[in-house]
Amino acid sequence: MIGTIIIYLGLAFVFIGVIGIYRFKNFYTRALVASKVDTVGYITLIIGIIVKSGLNAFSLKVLLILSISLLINPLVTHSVVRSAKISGYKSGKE
Amino acid sequence: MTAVVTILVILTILSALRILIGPSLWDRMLGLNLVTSKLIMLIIVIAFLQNQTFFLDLALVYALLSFVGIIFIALYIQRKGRF
Repeated sequence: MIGTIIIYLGLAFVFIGVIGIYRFKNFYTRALVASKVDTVGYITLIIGIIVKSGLNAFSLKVLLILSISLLINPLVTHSVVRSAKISGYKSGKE
Repeated sequence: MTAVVTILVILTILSALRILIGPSLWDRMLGLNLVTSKLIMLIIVIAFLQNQTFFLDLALVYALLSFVGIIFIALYIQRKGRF
C-alpha cells in the first residue's frame, strides 16, 4: 500500500516536469526544470518499486540501476548545456 | 499497476513531442534524454509486473548506451564537427 502511494507520487513529479518543458520559453530554464524534476521523479518511483518488492535479488539489481542512473543523468544535462553555451547559443529575453 | 504503465506511455509521447517541435538542436537532445529516462522507468515497471529479472539487464545496457550517445553528440556539436 505504501509502495503504491510512493509510485504515484513519483508519477506526479514526472508529470510536473513534463508541464515545465512546455511552460517555459527559454532554453536554459527548460533544461533546469527538465533535469531536476525528472531526476526526483525517477528516484521516487524506483524507491516505491523497491519498497513494494521487498529485499531480494530483484531490488538489489534495481538499486544498482538507480545508482548508475543518478551518476549519468546530471552529467548528460551538464554536457548538453555546456555545448549550447560554448557554441554561442543566444536564447531570447526573460 | 496497469494505470502506471498507461500514464508513463502518455508522458513518454508528450516528451517525444519536444523532439519534433524543439526550436534548436539542444532542445532536441534534452528531449532525447527525457524520453530515455522515461523508457528506463517503463522497463523497470514492466519487469516488476512480470516478475522477471532479465529485463533489468536490458534497462542497464540501455542507460549506458544512451549516456555514451548523447555525450558524443554534444561534443561533436560543441567542436563544430572538427575532431
